Order: sequence, then structure tokens, then C-alpha cells
Amino acid sequence: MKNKQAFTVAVLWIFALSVAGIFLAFTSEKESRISDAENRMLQGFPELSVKTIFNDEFTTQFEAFLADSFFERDSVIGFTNGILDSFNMLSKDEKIRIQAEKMEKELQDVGRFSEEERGEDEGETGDSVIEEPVTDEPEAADTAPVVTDEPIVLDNSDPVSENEDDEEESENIAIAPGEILITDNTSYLWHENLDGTITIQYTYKRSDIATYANTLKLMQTYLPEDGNILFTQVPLASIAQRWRQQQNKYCGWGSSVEIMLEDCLEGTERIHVFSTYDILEPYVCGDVPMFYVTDHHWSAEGAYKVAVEMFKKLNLPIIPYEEYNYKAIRSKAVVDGERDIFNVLYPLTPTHSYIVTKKDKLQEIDLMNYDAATYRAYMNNTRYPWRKIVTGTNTGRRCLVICDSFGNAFTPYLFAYYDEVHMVDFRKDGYSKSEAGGSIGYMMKYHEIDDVYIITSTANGLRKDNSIEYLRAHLKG
Amino acid sequence: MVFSSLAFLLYFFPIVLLFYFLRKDIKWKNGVLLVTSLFFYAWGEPVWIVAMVASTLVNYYAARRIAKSKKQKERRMWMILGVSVSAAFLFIFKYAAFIINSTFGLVSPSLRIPVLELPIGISFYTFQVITYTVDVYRKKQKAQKHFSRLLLYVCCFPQLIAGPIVQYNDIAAQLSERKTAPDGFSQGMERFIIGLGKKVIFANICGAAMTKMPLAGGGAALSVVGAWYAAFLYTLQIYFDFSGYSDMAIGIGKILGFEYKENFDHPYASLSVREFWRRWHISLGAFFRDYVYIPLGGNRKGLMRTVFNTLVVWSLTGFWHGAAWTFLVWGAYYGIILTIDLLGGKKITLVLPKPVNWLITMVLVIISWVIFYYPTLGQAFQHIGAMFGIGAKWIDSASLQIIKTYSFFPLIAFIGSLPVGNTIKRILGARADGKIVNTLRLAWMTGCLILSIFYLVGQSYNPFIYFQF
Repeated sequence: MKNKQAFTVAVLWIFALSVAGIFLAFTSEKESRISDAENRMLQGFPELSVKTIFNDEFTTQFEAFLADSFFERDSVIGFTNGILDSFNMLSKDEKIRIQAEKMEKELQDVGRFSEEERGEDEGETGDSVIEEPVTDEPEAADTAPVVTDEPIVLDNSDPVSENEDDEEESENIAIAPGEILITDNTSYLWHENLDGTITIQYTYKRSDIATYANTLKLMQTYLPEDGNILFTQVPLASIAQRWRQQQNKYCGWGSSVEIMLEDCLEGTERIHVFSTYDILEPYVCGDVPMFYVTDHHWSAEGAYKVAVEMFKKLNLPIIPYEEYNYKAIRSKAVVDGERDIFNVLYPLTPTHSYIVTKKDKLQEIDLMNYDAATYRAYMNNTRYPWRKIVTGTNTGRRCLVICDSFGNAFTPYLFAYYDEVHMVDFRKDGYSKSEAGGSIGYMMKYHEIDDVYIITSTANGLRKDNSIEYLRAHLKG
Repeated sequence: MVFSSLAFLLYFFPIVLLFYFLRKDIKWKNGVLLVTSLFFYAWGEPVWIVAMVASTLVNYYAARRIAKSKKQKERRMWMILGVSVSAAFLFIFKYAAFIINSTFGLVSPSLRIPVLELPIGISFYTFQVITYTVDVYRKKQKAQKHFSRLLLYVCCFPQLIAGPIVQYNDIAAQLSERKTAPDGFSQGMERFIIGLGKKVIFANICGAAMTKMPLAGGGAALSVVGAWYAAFLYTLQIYFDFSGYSDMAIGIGKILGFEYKENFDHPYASLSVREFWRRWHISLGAFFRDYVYIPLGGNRKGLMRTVFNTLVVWSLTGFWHGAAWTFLVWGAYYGIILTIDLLGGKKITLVLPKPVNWLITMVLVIISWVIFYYPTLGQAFQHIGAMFGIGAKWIDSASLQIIKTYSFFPLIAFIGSLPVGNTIKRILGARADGKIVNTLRLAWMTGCLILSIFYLVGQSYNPFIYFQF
């Protein structure tokens, strides 16, 4: 043997691979679950059957399962992305812009889905979600709940296709200051530009919002007479950061979907809709971050401001932010030298947290993860299939939070007002009736829920393939 | 199954090695390899094992009859039968739909037939089994007595799916006797890791950058710079993807005691297109040379016949890569360039400086990869047009962003595609085998293995480009 050292190392490589394989087999999470970091379902152990073997489903899913359940997956991906990023020659501004565009694209993809679903009777004419209000709905001012009287015109003075340096992928619409863009059939999310135009991020179809409103009305039937439903949809951090970082271009943002939803809910008294866009607008560019830089979520401070508006609506006493105690955790992630501070709340009263399966089978888990240097610290990340927090307070009321990961920063502020806070992470394919013990409606009755808070990001909220259809399907039964 | 997957690295590979080295006798080793190779193929393609075994069985029988037969006519008949059956499998799966739809389908859409799912590796194992039957016919090899050994030759997992195309003549002896040694084990592992890194780190990163380029509709939105950069990225991706696979195959073969011939030899350092094809996919070139070009008469029957033979070989080479007009044009493109070379073009290259020859070669090769990349000729020509400024701006912001984001790894990949390793070895001289260099090399390899696994965790299913052939 010429090179004993090389042989020994080669054998060690094989040995290490085997050990890693064995370790992974025994420690991996077999159930599918949602990754907050990637905002998608991670692959669980696939079903093994003759059919799945022969149609290639098993092998494909098994490969995905191994990658998705790899040790410290998020750290590994962060490490490899960090290597790529360290050789990235883009400037800080360019990185922020690209990150924002990526997030916006997610929303626009949802918008495209919505467009495809749009009925012909609404006069859909093309792929662009932006042109629609101008070309198809000029009469909207007469009947929409809130709408500008001014004609909306496309601002084509600086077409993107002819300007290589233009940062925007989409065209802008000129509207007067303070106007709210909404038509009979469409509502919008948008950025306000300094030049008086707005850049639309996403459109919502009225028929979808009406369907969702009906779901909320149905949900109310599972609540006692004095029960409330409080809804809000939270923008992704990149949308806020884009504005914050480019204040020479943007001066605000807006959303009219809440107005459309309220309109569809007309006649109901205890379903309350809140615009996070409106609530947080004055603070987005302030010193206290409402959204994180290294993470796509809102901050504890941002969540608190929205929670306060909701508590005011319910005539609950407000506990000032400063009266809470927090553990300030510096983020593990760094973006261009900047770290975030996660203010993870210490409950005011002794609190116990459980995972609930099969209706009432409890397994206690840590309420928060004060060791995590990520957003996962809040509420110790989302837990399935149902989460129950016994708060130690004594108000005689219980609430349910239907949320995605954005609910984790928000939920701690409910502890002071409810004896029990229940949580269900409700993203597509995330809820299992059989594991939870029943439908959402059944569980609401079973746990005697008084109020429901619906807190989702715009990426998971009023999506046709998620809350609009999926929530309704899982509410009953 | 693919080499660059966690299932292979963490389970399949260690298990194969464990059982393979459990006993020393060749029957055990062959048995382990045969069973695991069939499992390897069945992972995702269980049905198509039947086609592979059937093709092998027919050729096994045909070769036995060739060996027994004394009459040349009868031998020839059995050889044609064996080759035809294997070729028919390939034709049915790969070409039937294309040919029928391109002819009868144009007359009436109702005559169109659906494109069949292509069994993985069929183009490779078909050629391998053909080399066996033809080698027996040519009396270069004896007919294999053991069907299991012939099946092992065809389905041996290191080279089963994407080559190299191992000719029976090169491997026959190793099927019945081969040595496994510690040096071979360590060298094989190192070669495997190099291949893994080439695929997972460089090919996939270049591929990821490619997917972000505005290539929709043949890159109608591309600028001149963007079009060249996209073509450059694909040029690197396909080299690192395919040569990475070959490195892994050769490395695993070495661990198991097989000596596979090299499949790549720094093709992007070539000074002519002819040289490029001597360095790129060497095993495919060798197959066409030995089993098509030379039987047609090679260059021994005059210039015109040589030109004809060249064009035939290159049309077949293009068609081998896929049943699509782009592949046919791609093959014809090289056929024409090599014909020009044959007709006197190479005299011009002799007087040009080496860097100019290299540049011309690279431009021709890069253009060929653009044709290769796109599913339709219209898209390919649109992209090539953009490369030369036809209907394209000089530079666009989207491409500039990709260049800024992804320039380091492609640059390193490009340098790595040139024979810098040989230069480093030459500089190091005797120190190349020294203890310090050896330790540093092993540390580097370990890092490369870990990094490759890390990248695999973040990447979804990433098959090799050559799997589709």
C-alpha cells in the first residue's frame, strides 16, 4: 500500500456517511411539517406501497424526505447560502431590492393564480394584474364601498421595457394622495410612490373575498352570542423593508382588501376586520422596527400595535408595551452586518403550553424557545396539530388564534385577556382533522372558544387555495 | 437513483461496499454487484428493468449462437438479430414517436402517437450490449457463458445510467477477475468526491444561475452580454454535470476493482473542434469510431467517402442525444465543421496563433451548446441571434444582476475546466506526493465531501443532464 493515510481517510469517509445515514434514520421527523424558514411543507416519510414504488412517488418523496429531515437543515442551508452570498458582488441596496422583489413575486404568483381562476364575466383580458382596473371596471366608482371619484389612468411616462435601469417590474398607476384603490370586483395591495403613482402588489377578486366572508359568518355560528372574530392580514417584511430602504422612491403603502371584506360582511356585528397596513403605516420607517431585516416576519412591536387595536375594539384594557418583560435575543442571521432583536415575551402569569392531539390528549412543551436566535423563539415555533396555552389568568374567556407563523409574535399579547389561548397553524395541508380530533368548528365548540383571532401573512392569508377554500372545508364536519 | 443524492451517499453506497468487501471471491462480489445494480436501476424505474434484461438476454443468446456457428452467413445473421433487437428497443422508446409524428403526423394529427417515457440509461446500455455482440462476432471476445456476468456488464451501477459507454472488450476480463486494493479504494473515493463536487457545487450553481436568466421563449429578453453569459453558464454546467458523473462512475469502478477508460480530458482546452471531440465524451466517440465510422470505411476510401462517413457519424451522434430537430441540427453542425476541417480548414488553423484557435473553438462549442439547450430550433436561433446583437440590447439589468450574483463560481469552474491540475502537479514536482501535500489534499477532499452533502440538503431532486439520453 503506497498511501496508508489516504486509505484510512477514505474508509473514514465511508464510515462517516454510514453513521450519518443511521443517525438520520433514527432521529428524523417522520411527519410532514411546515418550515417557517422556507414557508413550505417539509416532506414526511412517504407512503410505502406497490403503487407508490411503481409510480416513482416513493423514491422521489424519499429523496425529498432525507433532504428535508437532515440534521440542522436550516443552519446547513444558511451556511451554503452564506458561501454563495459571500461571493455575491451585488450592493446592499441591490440585495434588498432583489429580496423585496422575490417576496413580491410570491404575492404576484398568487395573483396570477387568482387571475387564472377569474370568470369570463369579469372581463379578464390579460396576464397583468395591474391593467385590470383601468380597462375593465371604469364604472366601479358608482357601486364600490369606497372608491376614488377620479379616473384612474396608467402612468406610461416611463415604460419599464425601455429603461434598463428602472427597478420596477410592474407599471405604475397614478392616483391622488389619500385615495383608496378599489373597484366593484377588485381590491388591491399597493406601495405608494413619491411621484404620486402607486405600484400594485396584488389584486383580490370580490367573489373570493365574498366566499371568505361567508366562511367567517359560518365560523361565527360556532361561537357564543358575544363571541368575536378579529381578522387581519400582515404584509411580509420585505414589502416593508423595500419602502424603508427606498424612502427616496416610496412614501407609503395601502390595502383595500379589508374594505372589500367588511363590505362583504355587511350585517354582521361581531366580525371585525383590521388593516395592518393602516395600523403600521406611521411606524414602518420609524426607529422601532415593525418588521425584521433578517427574517420575513413582523416584529413583536409590530404585532403589539395591531393587538392593541384589536383589544380596543373589544373594550379590553390596554397593557403598555413597556410593562411586559422580554428577553431580547439577537438574531443568528446577519444581513449586511445588521442583526435583528427578537423581543420574546415573558408571560405575566405562570403559563403552561401543550400540544393537543385527538381532541384532549395533552403533551406539555415549552411555551417559548428563549434559546433560539431566530423568529422560532416566539411561541417555540408553530406546533401541530393544535396548541393550547393555559395562561394562569382568570377572565372566564377562551380564544382561538388561526394563524400562520405570523401568529407566533402576536399570540403572547393575548395571555393577559384569556384563560386559555388555543392556536391552530392553518396553512395549506397543515391541518389534520383526524390528528386534532375534529374539524375547526367542532374543536371550537369542544374547547368552548369565545373569540377567534385570524392572523396570517398576505402570502398565506386570503389565498384561494388556502384560507378561502381550505379553511371553509375544515371548518365543518 | 443518482450518485448525487443523500439516499445514495448515506445508504446505498456504504451498504454496497459493506457487502462487496465482506468476502473476497469474485462470485460473491459479482453477485452483490448484480443485485445492488438492479436495485439501483429499479429505484424509480422498476418497470424498465424488463426491457434491459430482455435486451441483454437476446444478445446473450445471439452471441452464444454466433460462437457456436461455423458459417459466416449464420454468424452474421445472429449478430444482426442481436443488434437489431437492442436497436429496436431504443428506436421504439426514443425515436418512433418523433419519426412518425414528424412524417405522418404532419399529414393528419390523428396519426400522431404519444411520446413514450424513455427508460433511463437505454441509450448507454443499448450501445454497451451492441459492443458485446459485435465483439463476439468479430472474434475479439469469446461469448460469455454466464448470463449473470453479461447482465452485470450491462447493468453494473457505476456506469449504467449515464456512461461512460464501456466496451465489452475493455471489461470482459475484469468480469471474471479483478483486484481490489487499498490504493484503488482511496484513489477511487477521491475521484468520486471530485465528481460529486463538480456536479453538486459547480454544475448545480451554474444551473441555478441559468434558471434565473431571462431565457423564456429563446431569450427574447436577452441582451448580447446576457445571451453570451447564459451560453457560457450552460457550457460550464453541461461539462461539470457530465464529467462529474463520469468521474464518480470511474471512481466507484476503481473502488470496486474495475478500470474504466477516461471519458473527458479537459475538452475546453482544445485548440480545434476535432480536438474537442477527442476530449469530450470519449467513450461515445470511441463507439462511433469503432462500430460505425471504421466499418463504413473510415478514411481509407477517399476524401468524398470520408466526408460522407463523417456526416453519417455526426448525424447519428446528434440523433443519439435525442429525438428532436435541435439534436439533429446540433449533430449536423459538428458534421459540417469537421467536414470543413477535413477539406482544408485545419490548414488555416495551423497558421493561426494558439489563443485565436482556442477562442474560435470555444465560440463554436458555445454556440453548439445553445442549439443543444433549447427544445426548438426557433428558440435556439433567437438566442444565437441575441449573442450577435440581432434584435438585442447590449446589456440588460436582469442579466447584469445574475452576473453580479453568480460570477465567482462560474469563474472558478471555468478555470477548473482547464488543465490547471496538471500545471500544479508540474510546479510541485516531487513534492506532489509528499506528506504535507497529501494531508492538505485529503483535508480539501473532506471539505469538498461535506460541502457537497450540505448543498444536496438544500437542493431538490437534481438529475444529471445526460440522464435524458
